[in-house]
Amino acid sequence: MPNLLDVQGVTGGYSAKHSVIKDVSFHIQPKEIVALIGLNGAGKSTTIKHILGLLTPTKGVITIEGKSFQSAPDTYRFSYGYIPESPIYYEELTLWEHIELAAMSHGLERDIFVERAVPLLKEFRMEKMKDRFPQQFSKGMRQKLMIMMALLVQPKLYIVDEPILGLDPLGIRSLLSWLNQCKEQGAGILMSTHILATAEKYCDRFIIMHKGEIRAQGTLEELRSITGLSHHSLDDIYLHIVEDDNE
Amino acid sequence: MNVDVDALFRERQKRFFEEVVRYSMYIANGGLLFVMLFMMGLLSLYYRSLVDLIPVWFPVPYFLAFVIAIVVTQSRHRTFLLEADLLFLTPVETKMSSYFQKTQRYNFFIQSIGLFLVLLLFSPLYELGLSGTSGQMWLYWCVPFVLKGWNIYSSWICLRLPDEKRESQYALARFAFTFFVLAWVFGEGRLLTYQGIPYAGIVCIGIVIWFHARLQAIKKKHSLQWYRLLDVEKSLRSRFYRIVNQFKDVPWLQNEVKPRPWLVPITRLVSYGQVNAAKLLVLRTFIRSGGYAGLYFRLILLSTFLILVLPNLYAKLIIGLLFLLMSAIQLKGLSSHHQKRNMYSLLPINDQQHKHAFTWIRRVLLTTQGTVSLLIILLF
Repeated sequence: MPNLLDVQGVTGGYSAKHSVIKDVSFHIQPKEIVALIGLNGAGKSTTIKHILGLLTPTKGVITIEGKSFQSAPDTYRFSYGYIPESPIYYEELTLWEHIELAAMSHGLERDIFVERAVPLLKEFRMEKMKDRFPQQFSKGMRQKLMIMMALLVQPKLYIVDEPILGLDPLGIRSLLSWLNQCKEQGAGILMSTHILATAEKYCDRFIIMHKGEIRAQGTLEELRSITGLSHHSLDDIYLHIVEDDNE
Repeated sequence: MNVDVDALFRERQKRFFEEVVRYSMYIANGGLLFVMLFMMGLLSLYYRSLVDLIPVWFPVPYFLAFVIAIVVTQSRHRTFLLEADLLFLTPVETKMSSYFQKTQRYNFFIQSIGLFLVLLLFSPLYELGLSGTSGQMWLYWCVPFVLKGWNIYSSWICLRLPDEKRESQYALARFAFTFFVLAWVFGEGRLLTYQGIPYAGIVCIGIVIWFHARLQAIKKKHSLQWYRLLDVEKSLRSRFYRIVNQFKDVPWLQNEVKPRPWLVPITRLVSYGQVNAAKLLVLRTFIRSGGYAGLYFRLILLSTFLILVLPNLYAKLIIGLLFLLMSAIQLKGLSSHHQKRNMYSLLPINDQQHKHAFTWIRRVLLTTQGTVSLLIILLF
């Protein structure tokens, strides 16, 4: 199967002189959830910004379904759904209008938009907030808005940045089960997170980043054999890899 | 914790004034100021003839009392508070009284400037109708300022009320009282005077005493509403920045959003579809965002009024054009409104679509305004 997302030897950051991530390579295939894990400042968000086309790599190539951002910026933007770590929204639009705008800009038919939006509102228990403005929301509710906007479009690739922080337990469950469903229908998901227990439970593969570089990647079994820590949890393996490096 | 609240006030006021000076430069460079000055000159040319248009039976003093009472009653409380003060200043709340006394003094001074200008504008009108005592002009120039001070003082205490509805009831009471006093003074004491006894004056004294008792009760019962004060400060500050924003981009400008449900049906004119996404976004932004729609409709109303009262056809046309120009200038901010936020990662609407949508809405709005002005010129 061809790779859905391909990140090859990417070096980059906010300025050309000062690279934040170095020679990062990984890929995501349809029907898998891949966790991007690392400490604060490990380079997870920078990697994601490169994938979104917000930053340009100084070296290396990023493609989604074989197309890079530089070659076709507009089609590239249509090919993923992004759930940001800190919610971004238009102050002037209500929750429903945000969802409508997401559907419109992605070219969804009106009936399909309504058909998908109603169950989403129900799942995330936001029906009552439909006509309110995100400015009056709590952080978790704004996060739900971001999630619903991404899930509505049903893209092939999801890029999810720290989705769990700020969400209530029911929200977390809804999100993870919904993402799992998307995966079964053929989507690929890249999820950056700190919460290793959740990552271990829901993700198929893991990419461990540290100080801007990828230290290890693979399934849990593969990571166990790399580190020689058989029967250990992801938590232990992760700490082992990161602490090794600090010494 | 020891905080020198007086120094804090001085420092914050200084910082704000520095900002005002800096932004005044930009404003002085902009075209809008020129347009306004030109228009004021044009209006002053016609001032006399406008005054002559007022019929004899029109109660000028009472009308003036009403208008000036609005200006006097509107007491906005800038406090220079910052978000972080909720954390750092609340512990010294009991020592804050001298800080807030200074803010009240500041507000009185600033708002008196506006009041002075309004009084200046109306003074020839008032003088014309007078029976000829010069003492009356002294009252015209003094009493509104005294009332302004009283309004600032009492509205500040009313800000302690947790219930905003009650606060607006008090504001209404303040307005009624202010209007009553001004009507009595401007009407040369004729209001409610019966057989030489000025009953209105007696009523005034009664109301002042009653109000004072109420205010003391509020002060005793309620403490400062920090969140409310911060909200007021924020909205006043963003108003200042919004004005400035017409001339120069203010990056940290916080938006005030108004739901304006009565305007929402207009958005149905934009049909659902991918090509219209940016248009719908810019239209909704225009409708809801604090400044744009409000100012646009006010400009239309004001230009309609001026076109109706001005006698000369050319003057009407010039006013229509000038207001069109002002609308165009103030709509300019809409084009960069969303650029500050990085929304492109979230929705696939590119720069070109944004620009296209902006030109579209500007064309629609200016055409509408032009048509309205032209129709009024032709019909009346």
